[in-house]
Amino acid sequence: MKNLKFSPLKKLEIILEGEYQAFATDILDRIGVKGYTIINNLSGKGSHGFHDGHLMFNEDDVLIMIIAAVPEPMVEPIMQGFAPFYNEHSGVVFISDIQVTRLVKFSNQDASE
Amino acid sequence: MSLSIGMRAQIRAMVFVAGEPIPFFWPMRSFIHHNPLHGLEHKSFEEAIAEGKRLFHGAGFLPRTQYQQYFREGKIKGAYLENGVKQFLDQQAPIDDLDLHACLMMLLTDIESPITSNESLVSVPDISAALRDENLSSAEDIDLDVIAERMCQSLYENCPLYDTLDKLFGTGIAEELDELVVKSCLDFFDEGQSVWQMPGREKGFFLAWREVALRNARLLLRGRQIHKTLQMADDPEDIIVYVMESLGIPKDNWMKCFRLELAKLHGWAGFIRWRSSNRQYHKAKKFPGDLVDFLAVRLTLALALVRERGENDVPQNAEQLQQFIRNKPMETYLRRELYDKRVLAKWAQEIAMALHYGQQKKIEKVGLAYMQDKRTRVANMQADLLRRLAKCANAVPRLESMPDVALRQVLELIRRFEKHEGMLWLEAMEATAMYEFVKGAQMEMLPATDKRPFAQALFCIDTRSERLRRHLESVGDYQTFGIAGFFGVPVSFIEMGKGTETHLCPVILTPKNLVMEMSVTDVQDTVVLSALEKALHDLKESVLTPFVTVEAIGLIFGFDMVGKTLAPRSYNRWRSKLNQTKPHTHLLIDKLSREQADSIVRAVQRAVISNAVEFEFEVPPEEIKDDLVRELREAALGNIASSPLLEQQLNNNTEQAQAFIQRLRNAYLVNKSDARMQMERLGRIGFSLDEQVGFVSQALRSIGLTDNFSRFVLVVGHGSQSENNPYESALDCGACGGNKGLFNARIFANMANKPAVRQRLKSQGIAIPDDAWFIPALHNTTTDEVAMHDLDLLPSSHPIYLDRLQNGLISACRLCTQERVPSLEFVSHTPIEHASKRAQRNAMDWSQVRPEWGLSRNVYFVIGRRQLTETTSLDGRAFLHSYDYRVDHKQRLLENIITGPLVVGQWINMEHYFSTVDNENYGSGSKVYHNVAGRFGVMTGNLSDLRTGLPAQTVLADGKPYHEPMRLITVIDAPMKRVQAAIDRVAIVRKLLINGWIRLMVIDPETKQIHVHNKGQWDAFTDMHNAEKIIDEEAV
Repeated sequence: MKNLKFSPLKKLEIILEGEYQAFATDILDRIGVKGYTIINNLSGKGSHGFHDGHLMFNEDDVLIMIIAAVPEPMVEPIMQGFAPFYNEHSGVVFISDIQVTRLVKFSNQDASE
Repeated sequence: MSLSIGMRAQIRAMVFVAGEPIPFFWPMRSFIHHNPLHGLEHKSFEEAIAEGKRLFHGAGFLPRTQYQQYFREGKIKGAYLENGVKQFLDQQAPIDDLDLHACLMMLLTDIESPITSNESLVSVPDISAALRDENLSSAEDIDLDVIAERMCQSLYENCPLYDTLDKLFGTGIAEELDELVVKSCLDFFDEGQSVWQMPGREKGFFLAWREVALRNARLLLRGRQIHKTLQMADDPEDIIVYVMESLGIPKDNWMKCFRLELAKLHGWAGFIRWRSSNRQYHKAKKFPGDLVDFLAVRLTLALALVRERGENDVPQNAEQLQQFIRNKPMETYLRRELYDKRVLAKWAQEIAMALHYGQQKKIEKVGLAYMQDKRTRVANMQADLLRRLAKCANAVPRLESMPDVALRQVLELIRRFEKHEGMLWLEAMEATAMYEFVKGAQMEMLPATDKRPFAQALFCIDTRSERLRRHLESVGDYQTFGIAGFFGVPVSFIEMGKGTETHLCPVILTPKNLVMEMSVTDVQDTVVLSALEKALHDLKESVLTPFVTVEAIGLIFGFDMVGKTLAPRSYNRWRSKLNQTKPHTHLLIDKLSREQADSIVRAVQRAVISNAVEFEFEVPPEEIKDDLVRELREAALGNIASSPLLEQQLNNNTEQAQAFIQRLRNAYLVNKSDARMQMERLGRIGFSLDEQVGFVSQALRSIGLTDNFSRFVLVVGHGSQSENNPYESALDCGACGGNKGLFNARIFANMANKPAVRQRLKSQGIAIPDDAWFIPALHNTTTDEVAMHDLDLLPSSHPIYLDRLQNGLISACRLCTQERVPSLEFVSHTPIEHASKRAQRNAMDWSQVRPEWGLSRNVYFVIGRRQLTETTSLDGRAFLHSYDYRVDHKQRLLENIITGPLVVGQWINMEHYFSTVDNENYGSGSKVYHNVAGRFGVMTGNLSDLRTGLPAQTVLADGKPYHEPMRLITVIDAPMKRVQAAIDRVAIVRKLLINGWIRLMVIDPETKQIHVHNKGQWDAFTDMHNAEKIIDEEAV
């Protein structure tokens, strides 16, 4: 069996209110992020008190999380893009180190590089 | 120049955030009521109004004289007003020997215009001198440098840079700029109104505009300047940065400036903002454009105009402007007086002359004399008003001898009071409305009866249902319920003959399920064809173009562009024919099986291929054999390498055959990946049984209808009927996304009548007896008629009772019309017995600007049992949502009602509020001057901002408010603890409540206590409403 090759990437977990989903994905798309996962209807507690997930009747009133794995050089432009937004809105971005095996899915670089 | 991707993203984010206070503008085909200050709801109501004034120049309250009239009419009770004044004074330092309470009450009720003014030249000693009839000190004492410095410091606070240029140099940039921007928008965003289309629109707003701007004759005069800017960069973000830097605006102020720019034409900006955030919108997909594009266009034009004017010694950037203001404070002052239209008329000519010749000495001299005159006038006017006020409080001598320190205190107190006055009136008016509600409410919990009502009816919560419900209940044994008019089923709908999906649910939801309407053709068909084959049958019948498609299926399969673009005329002819004789239809509500979906995809592929062969090779249809089509399909999907039959037909031209197969894959979308996508889209059609059970159960529980079902359960959607009215959709159902509510009613009734659904509901504790039948109906709010639908599905046991039901509805309709029609001023002389006829005429009359009052005068939102309100008339002013806390065991139902329907109610309420208090700025002015723009909005005259909000005819009568603007008074009939828990869990409502965008009153049926939410705290109703005093007042 071929040995697995691990490549380092950064994982972004972007938490914001549901009504801003299109704004956030637009920024990611324009910067060239190749894909992301969106988790809807989060619950949790933060500086604005407890936020409960709701299933019905108002989709804008939920918190969502967008998860994206990106090469390190993309992190700064992304954060630069989100800065004016987070100056005025609640939410957070977590950045962490991760490893992936199929780099080609996340980056325009060739996996063999 | 070229920016980094990070910087570009940052500019986008800045524009996004800057645009947030700009309210969305939905195309008027489906008018959505919304709060024009929705983007400022994170602020308190009062703060947001101040910000709205700064951005949109709109007033947030009625003028004092209007409130005074309400006071005289008893719509604002004196006791509440006094209470407000007392609360205000409790927070102020007392002033010796002056009965401030009496003074302020007098100011509110007897003095028509504000006492304090914003004229910065007038000081306290000036007013003091005026009170003593003495001469004012010399104008030379005024330090103009301070005023100039203040102006320099606040250069970016209230208006864009060029506005300041206009105010100082009369350059008229703002007006010309708006005009150029509106023309550019009309060209690009047009949806089929103009004959000539702007070229290159698929590239996006900025790029398409850029191409045209470089050649446009209209812009030729300033072409040089536009060229220069456009050559600096290709992308809109880069252009924005270039312009801001050229104007010398520091980066810290950019966002502020972007916001002011976008607020300038907030109708257009709101439309573009909505359009770009709505990914489903077909036109937005085809011709993309967003606020970044809009801003880049606007700024390019603005810079060109500033530079052009700069050729006449007008400052061209922020630095030059500040220099001018600091160097020439007197000239700046006079210029602002003249060009900002503040000048006293008799001085205008002299000042204009002095400025024209530009001699500083002369300017100084005229300036000083003018300042003295203006100060004297303003000071005298304020002194007169103060004297009048003091006279009422018997304090004239005290006032005239008052030392400056005390006078300053009085003036500052009055200034603070007048700033806060609107809130005070509003709160007193709301308290009066709360009192009126409680007076009529039936607080006792009556025991439930076991008697089965003759019929039950579910109405929309819309305020117009209240009248009809009340009258229906009065004519017989009817029980009515209120529920959001989409009946809790969010659905995307494709009407027969339409090529677009309509979202039939509140705009805060995105429906996941799709329902299609199909014609019921002859009996033979139903035997031979399954539901799905029938869909295809429709498809084949209505092919208009070389490509196959009924638009409905076409949409699902990605062939949406066909009908409208290629054959508009025949399309429209066909549409109008279709509408004339719209056949009986049924709705495709159940999910498709995998096999059904698969056979549809295959059938469509076959149809597409056969049409493609016919079109590309000009083969008559009868010569296209099934074998060939089958083979081509296999080849296109890659299952076989080639198509020998086609090659044979093409005289063995294999290359041509392969090219055609390739075209089938790419242009006609016959390929595996599109097939997968098509299967996925087909998967959206219909609801699974689980979903149907869930929706029906949720709706019935939320209104407390879980047993004792009648033989008839009417599910009544509503819609309005008028001719030649771009605002027709504003009168339709907001819960159905500004559409008529009939389809939702049909879908809901269909689900609730299904035996499989009922069986599952039974196991959940909702037993619907076999003889109970749900009938969909439409309440025409212009004529009050209720028309029942799908009666052909009625079980054979029911028709004998139908007559009684029809008669009940007709009687209720007539009573309702008689109550309602006299309020429509044009028909006030109509004898009561002819009211129904007049209402019907209104619905057909194309010249009628006010077919009905719609939701005007809405004020209450009641969540609770009907018992609470059934003994009183709420005069069509209340949204009524049925709710019985006793069946809400998990307390989720209340949360759902306040997150969804209440929020939509608040939008409607705020739209009416702001359209009434300032119809010019927040409303859309008179309908009489409206012209349709681009097929999605209206403008005043032939060129203006898109008019947002409601027209004068909807909220005003003879120029005076017909709608009485108050914040939505929400009444919840449930134990206090439960209500508090629900609000704590729903962030959006918590925010609305704490920031004062809604009022809330809780009527606790268990303790019989009434609690009112006031600025973050709960007060007992009895403390707040001194009933004895109010009753005394009423007796007077």
